[in-house]
Amino acid sequence: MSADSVPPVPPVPPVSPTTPTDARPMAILTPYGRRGLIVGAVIVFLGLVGLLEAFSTRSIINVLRTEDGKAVAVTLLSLPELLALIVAFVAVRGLLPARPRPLDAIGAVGCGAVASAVTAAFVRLGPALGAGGDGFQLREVFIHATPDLFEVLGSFAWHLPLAALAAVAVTFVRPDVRRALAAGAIAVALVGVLSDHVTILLDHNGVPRASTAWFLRGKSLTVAGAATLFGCVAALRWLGARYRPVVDRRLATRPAHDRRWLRRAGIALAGVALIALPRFAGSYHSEVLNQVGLFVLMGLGLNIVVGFAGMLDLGYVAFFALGAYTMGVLTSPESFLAAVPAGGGPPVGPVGFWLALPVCIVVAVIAGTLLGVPVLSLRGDYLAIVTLGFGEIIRVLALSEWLKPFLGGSLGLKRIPPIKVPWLAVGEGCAARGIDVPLCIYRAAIDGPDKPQKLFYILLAGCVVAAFVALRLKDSRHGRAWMALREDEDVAQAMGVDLVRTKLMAFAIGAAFSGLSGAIFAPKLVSIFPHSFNLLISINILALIIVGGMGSIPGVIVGALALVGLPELLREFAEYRLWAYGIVLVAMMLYRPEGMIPSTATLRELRPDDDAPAGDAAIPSPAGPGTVTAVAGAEARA
Amino acid sequence: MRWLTAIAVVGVLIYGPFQILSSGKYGAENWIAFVIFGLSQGSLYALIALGYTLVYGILRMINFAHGEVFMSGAYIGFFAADALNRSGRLDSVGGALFGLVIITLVAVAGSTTIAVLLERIAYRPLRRAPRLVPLITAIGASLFLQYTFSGLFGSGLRTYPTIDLLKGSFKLGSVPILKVHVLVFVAAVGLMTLLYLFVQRTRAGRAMRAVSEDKDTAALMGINVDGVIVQTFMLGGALAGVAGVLHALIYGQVVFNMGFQPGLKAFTAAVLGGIGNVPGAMLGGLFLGVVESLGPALFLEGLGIPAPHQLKDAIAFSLLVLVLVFRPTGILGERVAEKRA
Repeated sequence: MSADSVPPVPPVPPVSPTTPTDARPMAILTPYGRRGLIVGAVIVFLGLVGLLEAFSTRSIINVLRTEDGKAVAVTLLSLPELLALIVAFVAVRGLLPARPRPLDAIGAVGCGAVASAVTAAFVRLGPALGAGGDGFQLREVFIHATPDLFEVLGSFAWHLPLAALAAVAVTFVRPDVRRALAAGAIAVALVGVLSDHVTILLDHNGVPRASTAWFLRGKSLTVAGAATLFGCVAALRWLGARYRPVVDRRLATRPAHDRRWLRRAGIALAGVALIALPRFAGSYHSEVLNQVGLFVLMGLGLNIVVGFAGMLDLGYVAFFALGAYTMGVLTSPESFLAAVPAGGGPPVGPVGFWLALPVCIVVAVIAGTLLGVPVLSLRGDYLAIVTLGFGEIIRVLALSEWLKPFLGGSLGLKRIPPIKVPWLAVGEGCAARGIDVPLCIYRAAIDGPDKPQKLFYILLAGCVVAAFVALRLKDSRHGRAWMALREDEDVAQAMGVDLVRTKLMAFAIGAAFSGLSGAIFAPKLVSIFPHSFNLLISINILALIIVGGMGSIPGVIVGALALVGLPELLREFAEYRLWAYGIVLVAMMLYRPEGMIPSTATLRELRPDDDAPAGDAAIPSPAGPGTVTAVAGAEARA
Repeated sequence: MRWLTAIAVVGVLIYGPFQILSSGKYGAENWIAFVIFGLSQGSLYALIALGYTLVYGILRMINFAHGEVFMSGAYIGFFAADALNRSGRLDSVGGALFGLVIITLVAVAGSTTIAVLLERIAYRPLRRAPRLVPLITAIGASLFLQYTFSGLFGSGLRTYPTIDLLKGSFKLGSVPILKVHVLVFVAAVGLMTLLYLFVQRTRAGRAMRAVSEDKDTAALMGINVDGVIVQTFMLGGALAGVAGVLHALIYGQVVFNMGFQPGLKAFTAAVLGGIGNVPGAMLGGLFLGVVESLGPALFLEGLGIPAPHQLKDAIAFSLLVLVLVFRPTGILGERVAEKRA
């Protein structure tokens, strides 16, 4: 690596507290103590923000205890405790060298102990501050400093050294085993946290509760369940990592013809699974999937603008709003275009969903191009602010008295009719005639006229089309022009890229996806209001692209699942969603700017000398900067 | 295309005022009142805009979270104001003056701390990163700060205590002027003059200008670049803190997301004046404040648009787009909006 090819974002190596030659005990221990104070402060902060209290009812693992002769499920590990333990674990792990000395182990435990002491001190002193008669009241400033918070914090205040011990223990484990253990732990945490949803899903699919009682009890996992889940996932992950290269090598020797068929079979299998999904998901979870689908659609569009062409568009919600409002105006019986049909009866919108859909997309594309023209010459951050202003203008206009006769002002547009799907109607017709249709796609239709399962197929179709378009565009002439633009505008122009056309095309295609999404959103919600189209949607989409990996299409899906699906399932989280997005955005930019599933080009660009597969970078390397590549290399070999 | 747009815009800009002025709906004192309100609002924009401009001048990045620094100043000042008010110290004239100083100091301390922490934790590690990276970080930091305040202190409005000294108005001719507006305007102009003198006359100011010109050369000349950058964030944070208190004095309340709109407007003001340029930010702020206050009545009402004041944000952002398209340099600035990666 030459001096001037320094990676643009150094992956901020965790600072190694001491050099190996420096063996003075205090020099080794002090950083741990300091880190302990920070960890304690962070945990108290999480408590004061209200996160711990909000999550205090989520239990991950429970045990049975006998109380008054009755067996009661008692929480063994709760979500607040898990969060605190994770904070302590990560903090200690960041300080430990690759080969910890005995003093490091002592320091790590000390770090945990200091953090525990800080937390415990807060638990002791906090209530005293709040009970000061008519003087200073802690709760008047910090609204979440409630007795509940002190109870929650007190319940695990002294457990933090355990996390420190775990962090020390993990350094002695081989990297491949470590990754398997991490996968197991994540699986247990996820299933434990979402166990109420697991229960709902099992009930929906007719699994008797008695048969899963050993696994799930009450609202969390049993110890046996957690252990089994942990063991299975860890083993699978380990076997997968172990035999993946072998399978890959075997495959590589097969003729191309066979490989193509294998891939097609895989795609077909995934397709069948997706089509069957709503059947097993039930209506609530289909609704969540629909929400994810809307954001995947928008994410794919913004991914073209931001990820491929490198133009940061913060007003992306504008096209979503345009799509939704166009759909509303064209189909709602309350719109100014609505008329009484020729045969009399209540007024209906001028056209139905399927006729309005192309209009919505065309309107969005025109708006995208119109916005594109004035900002053609702007770069980077200026573009971001101008597009943001554009989004705000659209929202202010939709809200205004001026356009109220057309768009309904703050009352919005109501009674947008649901989507009628011709081929689902066939299913309904068959059912009415007593013809049994075995395919789940028809079953979904039979379930009822407005079921979210129906919408799922429309969104699925939209996402598949959008993903296909994005995938084909990515490696096309246009896609390469976009990426050239992203890397260096001047060089791209010198190479013969038509800047005007390329930029406008990115804007237009991005807008089309967003308009499509908006057009589906309007009938989904029935009523649309200007408040549904605020800046936070744009930021939400941006965040999911960044988490998934800019320019990566699978990344969009993973990002949408993580940032839209997960918060939908964790209802108490709603209040902290944007707070968490903030942290996620900053943390991603600081530690992993390429995202969870980076596109190969971005990876190459951001980590020029790092050939390890994407998964490896996720493991925080405890060593100093010099050893990062060596460790990564070792992990890749293992 | 560009010229057609320009002609259309100018046509609308002439037709609207012509209609409304010839209708005689507003008298001279209405217009003066609009301008005075605009100037006081604009001086707040200017104070915040200075934070954007200072940071942009040195780091070439938009500190998107600066609106939240402003909010944090107002919010932290609230606790001081509330405590003083409960002990009854804001009632007498002397107490109120002393109280205002204390509130401002607390607010400035809070907002400066947050601005410096922001720089240290979120921006410093990314100094050599591609341009979008710090911008996205700043958006993240902005969200984080907003919702941290919402989580810590609640998402509802908190009402600032009223200070009797600042209540009421006095007459200038036949035009009533609110005392608060005068205070805000005078304080803002005073601070901006001080800042201008600081940047132009002092050693630290010269170091700041040197770093803004060329970081590497400045470092070679023995300037502590990191130190200067921290100073810049401190200055911007302090001004935003004062702006926060002044804003709260005018509107009488604070809420966790109050920083977003003024932040965006202040950025617009900074661009209007020419970003990176200290007098430009002041001019841009005042200009934007006046346009926003006059605009709905002057430009839109004549076009027959009902409830035009609802559209004042749209006016501000349209102005931003127009400036960037027709004069990216702003009123006083150098050409930085394009072609300077």
